[in-house]
Amino acid sequence: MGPIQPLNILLVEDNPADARLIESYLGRGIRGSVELRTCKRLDEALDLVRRQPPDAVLLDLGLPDSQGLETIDRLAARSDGLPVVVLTGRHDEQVALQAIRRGAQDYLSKGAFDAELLGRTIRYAVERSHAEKSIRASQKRYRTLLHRQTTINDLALALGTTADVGRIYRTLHTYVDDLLPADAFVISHFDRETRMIRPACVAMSSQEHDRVLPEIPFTADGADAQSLVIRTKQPLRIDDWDVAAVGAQENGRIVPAGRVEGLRLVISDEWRGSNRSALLAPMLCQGDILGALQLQCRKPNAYQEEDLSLLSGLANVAAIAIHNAQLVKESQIQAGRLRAAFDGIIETISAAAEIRDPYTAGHQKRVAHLATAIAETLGLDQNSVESVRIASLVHDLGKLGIPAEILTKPSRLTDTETEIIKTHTGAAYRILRSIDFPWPIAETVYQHHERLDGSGYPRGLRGDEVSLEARIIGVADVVEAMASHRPYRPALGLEAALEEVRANIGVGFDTSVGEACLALFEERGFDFDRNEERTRDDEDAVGLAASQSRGSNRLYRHVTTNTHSLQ
Amino acid sequence: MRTRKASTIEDHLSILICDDHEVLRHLLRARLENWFDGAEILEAADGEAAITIAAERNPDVIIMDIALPGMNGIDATKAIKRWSPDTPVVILSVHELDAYRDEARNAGALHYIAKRNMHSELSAVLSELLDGRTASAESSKD
Repeated sequence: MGPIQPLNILLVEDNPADARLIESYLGRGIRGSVELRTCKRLDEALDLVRRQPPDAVLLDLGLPDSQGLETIDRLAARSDGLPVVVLTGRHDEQVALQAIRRGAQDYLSKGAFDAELLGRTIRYAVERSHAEKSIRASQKRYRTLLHRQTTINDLALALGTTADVGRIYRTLHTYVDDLLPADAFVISHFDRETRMIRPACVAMSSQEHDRVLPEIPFTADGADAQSLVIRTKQPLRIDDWDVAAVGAQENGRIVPAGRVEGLRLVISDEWRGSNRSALLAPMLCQGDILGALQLQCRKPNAYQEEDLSLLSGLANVAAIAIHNAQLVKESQIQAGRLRAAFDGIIETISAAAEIRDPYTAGHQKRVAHLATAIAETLGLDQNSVESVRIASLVHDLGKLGIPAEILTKPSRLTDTETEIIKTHTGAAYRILRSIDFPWPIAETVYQHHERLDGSGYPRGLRGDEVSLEARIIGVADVVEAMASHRPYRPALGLEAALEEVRANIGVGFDTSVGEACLALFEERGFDFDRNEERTRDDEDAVGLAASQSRGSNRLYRHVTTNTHSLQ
Repeated sequence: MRTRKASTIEDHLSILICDDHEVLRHLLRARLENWFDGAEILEAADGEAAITIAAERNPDVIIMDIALPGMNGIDATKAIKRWSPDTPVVILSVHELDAYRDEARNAGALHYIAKRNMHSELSAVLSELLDGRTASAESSKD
């Protein structure tokens, strides 16, 4: 307890008799010393308040330069939260109550109070005013904390399920920047295998712009701030690097400078530049440390104790998002590899089916090219287009079971030979049905010689019984075959092939499929041997997966160089 | 002449698809239901059916193929525009020549989209048309 300060009271009263009376009451009514200043006019009072705010004001509402409730408004406007006790005439309760509504702490009716009541009223007014002040302060603090918590939640929402690490970094930076001062913002990535700490995202204020942060080795004894945070998984606040006043948060408590887990610390300044204070938080996800988030400020003592938990909260939300993004990336890479392997297998099967029939080499690929284009022209979704493409690539697989001399026979086939040829769809079906494709490949291949009017083979299916995929391949197969050379005849030509389509639209061929095929050749100049530009927007997904199969390290470096100067 | 809009369907959007190909109609229906939650999707397999349904149900938008059995989509559009000039018609076709676009525009169609581009274009076009539609339906209640 310090020495008791004298109570500083300002009496604003223009009536000298009243002023004298109150002065004498004050001497008796308040224990302890009182410093009383007295004035007669409001402008004088405002001046005295400005020079030295009193602990309380006793205010008469009727002054030479101000009358009535306006007096209290004018005083309140210049003295935020100053406890005011209003002096009113006798029987003037209405005015007194209005004065309280306008911010006065209490009132006293002249002639109706004594020394004791005056003393008690002033003491209560002062205490109430203190209590209000501390409530306001804690409300403000509560609002700040609430805002911070809301910000952490908002960050989680903003990050959502994005798989773009660069975007996560930028979003995190925006949120941190909004709440905490920083001349440098660094997200570092801890590489468990190489034991290196790498700056993954660096944003500097304009003065700091040219600074380049090197990779630093992780040190198990925590000789630098980054390593310490990564090792202890605790946030760290550095109040002033120049005087090495280091405080480390350990079990929620700031421990004295230079002492963490019994170690004497020399905090290295590898990434420090000319900054004096820093705030670091570990990026933790399910207990695993991904790296650290660091803020640096040119001013010393830029960060408060509660900033540690704020930064930790933001860092952990971002860590979860980064972890998810890495999982997504890994699964995309994995999917890309599987996809490449699958494509390789399909192409091998496709080529194997054509080895024994060199005259039709490339036929399946060319059919796949046209059939895919027809499927896209019809507006089929990506998955159905892929189904058509894969089925096209293996649609003649069953020819593996047809004697080579029939396949390559230069003259017209006999009826028996034709019947043998017709077994190829069934043969392919029996091979393909054992493979668990995500599409009905076996059934499509089985049906690709069926015609809508029932004139096809092997089952003579009609109309709806023939799947759309099979109808597309059926048209593409005929067009490619007629447009190309065969051992038993020269190419009939594209025009003859398209005439065949026109003649069969609505008979054996699907109207829409035939129409799409004709539109492709006639309106867009389709060429079997030219790879059309891929116009469809959703093709990008495939390219993305392929580009991501290059390894995650490179992607991280890529992000580093791209986000070096965010500001 | 019928009243412009039956009160029972005022609440949600209705979209009429006219395409003779059942599978393609179903694919488009699935896509529309995905884009416009709760929208009523009407189907017509030829131009005459489209004209009848358009008159009876007064859909918010009509998506019309060109090649149809009997009356083609361009003629069906002309007929629909005579009866309900305010109903927007979007042509969705495999054809991409300017001649088709010109014919569609002359018939009164507001947009022409190649089927292969429907993934990127159709949703944007419909959102624009239907937003305007619901907004004007709201204001006409006053």
